[in-house]
Amino acid sequence: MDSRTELLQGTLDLIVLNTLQGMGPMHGYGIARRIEQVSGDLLQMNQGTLYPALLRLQQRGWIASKWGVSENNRRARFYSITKSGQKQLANETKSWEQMVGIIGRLLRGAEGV
Amino acid sequence: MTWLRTLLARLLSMFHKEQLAHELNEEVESHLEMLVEENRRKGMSADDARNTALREFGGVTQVREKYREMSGLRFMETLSQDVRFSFRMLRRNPGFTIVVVLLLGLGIGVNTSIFSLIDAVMLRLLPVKQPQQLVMLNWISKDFPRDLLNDYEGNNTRDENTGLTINYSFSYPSFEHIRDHNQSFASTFAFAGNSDEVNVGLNGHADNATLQAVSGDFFEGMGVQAMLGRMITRSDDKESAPPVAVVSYSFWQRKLGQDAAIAGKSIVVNGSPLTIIGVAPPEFFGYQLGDSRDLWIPLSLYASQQAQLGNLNNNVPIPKDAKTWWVQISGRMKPGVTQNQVRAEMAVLFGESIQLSNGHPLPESQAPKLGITSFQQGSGNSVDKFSQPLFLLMAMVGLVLLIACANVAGLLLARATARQREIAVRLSLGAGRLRLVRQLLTESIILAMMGGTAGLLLAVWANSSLLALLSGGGKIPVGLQLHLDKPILGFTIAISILSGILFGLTPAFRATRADLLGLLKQSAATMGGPGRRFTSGKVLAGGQVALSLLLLISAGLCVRTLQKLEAVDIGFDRQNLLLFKVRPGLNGYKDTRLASFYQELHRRIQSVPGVRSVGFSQRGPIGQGMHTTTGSISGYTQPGQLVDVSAHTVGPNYFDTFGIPVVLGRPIGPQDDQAAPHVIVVNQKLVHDYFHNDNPIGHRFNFGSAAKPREYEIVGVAKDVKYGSVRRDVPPTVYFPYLQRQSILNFMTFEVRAAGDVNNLVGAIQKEAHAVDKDIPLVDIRTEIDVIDETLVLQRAFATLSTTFGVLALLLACVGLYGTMAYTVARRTNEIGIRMALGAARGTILGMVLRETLTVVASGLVIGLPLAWAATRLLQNQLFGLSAHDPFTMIAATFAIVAVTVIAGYLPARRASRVDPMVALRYE
Repeated sequence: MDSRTELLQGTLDLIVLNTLQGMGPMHGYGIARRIEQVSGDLLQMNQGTLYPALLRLQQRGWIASKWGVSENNRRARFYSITKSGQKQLANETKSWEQMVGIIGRLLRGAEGV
Repeated sequence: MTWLRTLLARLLSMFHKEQLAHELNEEVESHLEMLVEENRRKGMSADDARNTALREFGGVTQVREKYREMSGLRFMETLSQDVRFSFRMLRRNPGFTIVVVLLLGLGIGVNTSIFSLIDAVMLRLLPVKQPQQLVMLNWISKDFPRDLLNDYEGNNTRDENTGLTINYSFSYPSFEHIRDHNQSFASTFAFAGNSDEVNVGLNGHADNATLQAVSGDFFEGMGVQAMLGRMITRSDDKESAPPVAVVSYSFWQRKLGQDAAIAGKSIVVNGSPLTIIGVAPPEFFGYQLGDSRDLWIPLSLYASQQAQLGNLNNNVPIPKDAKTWWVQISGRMKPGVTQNQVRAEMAVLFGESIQLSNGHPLPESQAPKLGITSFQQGSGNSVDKFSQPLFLLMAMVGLVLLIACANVAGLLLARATARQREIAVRLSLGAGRLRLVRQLLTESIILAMMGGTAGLLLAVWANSSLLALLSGGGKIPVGLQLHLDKPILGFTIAISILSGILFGLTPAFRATRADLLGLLKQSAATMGGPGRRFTSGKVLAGGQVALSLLLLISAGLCVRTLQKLEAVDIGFDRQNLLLFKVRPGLNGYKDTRLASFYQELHRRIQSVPGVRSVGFSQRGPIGQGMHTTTGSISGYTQPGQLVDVSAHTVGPNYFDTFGIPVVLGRPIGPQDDQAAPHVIVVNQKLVHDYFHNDNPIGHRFNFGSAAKPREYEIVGVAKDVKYGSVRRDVPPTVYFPYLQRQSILNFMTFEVRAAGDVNNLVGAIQKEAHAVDKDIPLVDIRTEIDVIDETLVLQRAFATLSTTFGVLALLLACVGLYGTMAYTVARRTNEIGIRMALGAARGTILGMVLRETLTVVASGLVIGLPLAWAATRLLQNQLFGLSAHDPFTMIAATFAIVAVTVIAGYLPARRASRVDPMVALRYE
């Protein structure tokens, strides 16, 4: 097996929201590419799994979608983050950072003992 | 709230599923093409670019599947799949489906029917506007507050545990005070505590009607609108108002020929004319279930009628009399007011009204305590009176349904075994176990719903039979309507689903618990050793035997009770005896005129050809209530000691007519009039209890006080006769001559003994009565046999119903047992064939299968007998003359079960013994 990391359960939503927040409206392919770029190909993800996640986020009202034309003139669906999505992202980011902090302290503490 | 939005989004997307799928395809395709393009840019060949793109994307089908699952409600989709599949399976086995639907239909049908009876008797609200706002006042006291009232008219109930009496009637001044000063009622109204029967004159002939007096606000407060004309209003309820009446829809239909122009016409009530002002709507029967009223009149009119009849207590008009408590008070609560607030306010007003009439407040300890009860179901104690028998009936039908469910579960188990290969294949192809359980449960619930539909149809028929049963074949008005409307439908659907789960769950789990490999290898028929796979089936069959034993024993107890009641010696010959009531007192007859009326009627009926003897009395011996009084016997009671006696007031020829032997002294005759010395006849029970069997002739009974004696000399001893009810022991009884009571009774029951069929004499007797006074009807003309039968109607209904349920249960258990054993035999054809090929005789095989059946029955009985022993105690109150553990019933029921089940078990056993070994061995 290679050294790529499996996506943590539930983090895909956070990543997608964050990407849309930072980059503005994007289509599915763009989102997938962006995630790969940022993670430096270290995240292992089937691009297809993105679509159920996008549907879920839409159903929750955190993102919205609109059909448009891609940079190379292809019909594509563009996703953008909504107001409640931004709020959700802020909350999630905060609790994620808290969690990371706690885990980090725990691990460091464990090393120290 | 996010979940709600999600649900909504999913629900909405169900309506354009096609479009969503299409859009996803387009999106995925464009994604893939972008990937391909990029790969081409990296220099791959067209094929490589496409393959790499697909790899990077991952499974397109999985995404689609996942997407579809999320975009709809998967639950709904699989449900409709399951439903369609179930119907296919059920259509493929029409025989099985029909049997199951019939079994369940029986179980659910009887439950629906009994539940609709419970609903009608105990759960229905009054058919008026917003009945839940209605409450009724009562007052609670330990002792009768003699300082406050001289006369109490109406119902009260005594709580045996606390010794407190709950009373419902108040004085009219209290009603007025409460009505005029309270803040919590939107409307305050009252009605007479007694409901009366009256003589009415219609088109020149006399008839009987039931009457209820109500205050002017009654109908407005109840929210009842006239169907024709208008209802009684406050302006009708005044002393000076013209006399008016409202008639019920049913009376208008039965007696007034549905006259659309009835308003303004007159009707003669107790000899005086009233104007009919309106007709009540069809659904309004009054405020007491099973006691519908024909006429409503204002309270003021009723009070003046009572005064005319001489029912004045304190020589003041009844509405002004604070010491006669005769009206019940109800009200409609204003919205937002609680019962506690009402109680608090009413208690204050009630206290004030007592103080106003009494002159000073009562000390806390003596003051009656005010209470509130809901009036949403009206008043009357039908709930208390029938709750126990209805609960028992519901328990019985519940057991019948349980047996039906066990039965169906057994059939499903058998079928699950037959379907095991199919299920194994599906499991091995990757179907989830829960998914399959759900599929099988869906099938069960569909079966149950079909059974429920059959049950509803059965209930329509069962309800009309039930009403016929309760009305003694239409002879007694029950005043009940059994509805099959929304609440009942809800109940039926609920028990259908519940039974579906009940009988479906175990077979579903068993069926899917298969050992895959073993099952796929085996052929269907050789699977499972003898007895192994069928333990659940046998347990179910045994359980059915146990429950049906319980029901059969209950039925036996009820039937034996009825037999004992019918065989009770009532003390006289009930054949060829006709009874009816006359009420000349209502039409103004008094004193000597009243006495001559009775004598004249007596004389005229006596002369009708075919009449052997005529008597009359205050009431008939059975089913017409009791009258009790107290007295002392000089020489036999201590000074100041009073003994209780039941009393009859009788005319001449009473003992002759009933054929009651006077064993000592003489009966009461025409010579015992006002001028003659006061005499009584007593019964043997009284002689036994109070005279220690001494000769009582010539002794004197004092029914007055020591200061104001009212003495009667005993001139005769009559044989014991039941009084009031055939269940009760004969009480010590005295017979007074009707002319020697303080006043002559307003009502009399006449008894006519005929040489032949009394029904032939009714016309002639009515003609004689008409000749005496055409405005006085003969009321409740019935034979003594019918009168006594009526007192047993509930017992008879109970016996009939419990027998029906018991037989139904036994039948179901037999079907269940037969099914289980037939199935066992079919599965073991192969084994039986081998046994026979190895030399087993037919008799041995027969014995083997029969033994197996009997083991099941015996284990059912072993469980059922202790169960019945414990459960029949609940029946104790319904029984008469035997214990709940009546050994005869227990043994007879056990024998019945063994006999019938042996037949059910014999058929499969015989089939087993007829197996041709050659055929059996080749059997798959």
